[in-house]
Amino acid sequence: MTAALETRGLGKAYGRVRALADLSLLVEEGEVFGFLGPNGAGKTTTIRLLLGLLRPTTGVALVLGRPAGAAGTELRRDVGYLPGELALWPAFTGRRTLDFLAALTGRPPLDRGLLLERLGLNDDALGRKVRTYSDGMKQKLGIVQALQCRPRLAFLDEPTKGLDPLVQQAFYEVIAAARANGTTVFFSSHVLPEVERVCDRVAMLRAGRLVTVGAVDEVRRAQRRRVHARFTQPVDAAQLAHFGEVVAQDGAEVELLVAQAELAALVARIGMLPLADLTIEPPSLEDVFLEHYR
Amino acid sequence: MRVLLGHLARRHRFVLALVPLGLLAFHFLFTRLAPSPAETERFGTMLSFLPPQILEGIGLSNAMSVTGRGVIAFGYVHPFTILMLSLWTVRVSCGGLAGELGEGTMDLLASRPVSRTTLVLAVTIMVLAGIALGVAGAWSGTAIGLATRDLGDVRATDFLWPSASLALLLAAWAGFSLAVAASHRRGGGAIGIVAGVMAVTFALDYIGRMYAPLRLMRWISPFTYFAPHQQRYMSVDAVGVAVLGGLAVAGLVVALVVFRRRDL
Repeated sequence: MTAALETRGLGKAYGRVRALADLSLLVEEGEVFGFLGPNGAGKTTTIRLLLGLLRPTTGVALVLGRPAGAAGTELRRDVGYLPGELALWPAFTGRRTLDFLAALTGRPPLDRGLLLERLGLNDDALGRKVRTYSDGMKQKLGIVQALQCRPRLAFLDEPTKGLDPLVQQAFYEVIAAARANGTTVFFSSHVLPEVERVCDRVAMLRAGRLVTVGAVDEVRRAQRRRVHARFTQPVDAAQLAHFGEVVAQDGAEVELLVAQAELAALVARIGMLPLADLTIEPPSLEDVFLEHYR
Repeated sequence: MRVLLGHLARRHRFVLALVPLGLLAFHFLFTRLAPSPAETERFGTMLSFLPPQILEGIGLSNAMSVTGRGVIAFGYVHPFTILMLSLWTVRVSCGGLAGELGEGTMDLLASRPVSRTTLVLAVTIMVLAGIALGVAGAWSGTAIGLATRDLGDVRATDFLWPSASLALLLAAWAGFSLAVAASHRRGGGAIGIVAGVMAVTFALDYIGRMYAPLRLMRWISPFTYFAPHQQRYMSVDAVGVAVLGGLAVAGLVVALVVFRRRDL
């Protein structure tokens, strides 16, 4: 596999404000890569740096093997982009918008028909001016323009914003189809279940810094489990603190966060106490996210 | 480039049609207002009673101004003509760069395989094409008017140079507008700055003609280098061409450099 994109020490500062610092990342071709972080974490800045819309303060970025940046004009023929704050020309019809952007890309819109069908944008809607569109329809049009020319790499910044649950389902099918066509998808979001559902790997940003990166399962495995033990009588939680972090105790109930490696020893120790019930929750990506951002 | 030009033409098609047609009608009107050779003599006698400062202020500073040729030439420096062409120049140059940025649509353009140089050049070509069409409209109005009214030896070809000179003045403003637009994030802000500078320099040139203390400062106004209603500007004026052409080129170079280097 070759790298669809690679960054080394990529950073962006606006005066004293650091929007992104020392980002080193590698995304392989054909991956659906989730880019997570709360608002202001640097997700959009990263995408804009990779597209050459911003100039990096430090570091380098390679997109499809070529240097990103304002000079990387040709590589953008192979790239699709859905901006986080999508703005379209209000006086253009949907069809004219798609035709214009496909012509500017210089590649035939091979997948337009399929995308329109999946996302439910019909001929009538395409014939209307964009100013009459709802937010959801604009977002659908944005997704179609980003993927219609079957790009090798698609940057989708908060793609499900404004979509209703049914269209979100259709969007997940669109992503699966794009992956099947060999498109690498770089997917920025803070909707964790959808990232968990569609992404192969994820990276998490916090305050402009990368905090974790890996396969979704790996990232989850690295996360501490939430263990809930109920005893028949109150116990001293301090004797369990050795195995992890006691996050709550209410009489005979104790809740702990425990690393996977400590689980067996904890279960053995709990077995020596008057146990009534034991629950070990597998961590969701949301748990990982919350732990990193608390 | 062709796709971008089509996009710009579609976005501004209403103004692109309005400006040449408006100028055609306006300059046709001037051929109707221009005095015939017989009227010129009477008109000149009446004006001879006015003080020279007033004559200078209303652009009738010499004998040529009260001829049919002079009155028609005055149309090329009339505020309406300047305003119509400026409307196009400022709207397209500021809208094409700072406007697309402010509206957020620049993201969709600049993420395509289009270089920033191409984006600036496409806007430049569209602005210049609009100026050329507008000026052609003005000259056509003069030509149609002179074809339908006999003003003695006044010929439409007499106004080819004033037309070219007018186009050059607007090209200079286009260069300035592009430089401002390339460095701003909002179309409205860029338009405000350009319109403000245009208004101040226009006023400076106008007042400087009548008010001696300001006369020395007129050289900083591009409008000073454009005076087709005066006899000497009916032929090629090398200083005017150099100043206005230089401003146009310098503005474009600044726009290209700034836009290539900035964050979008």
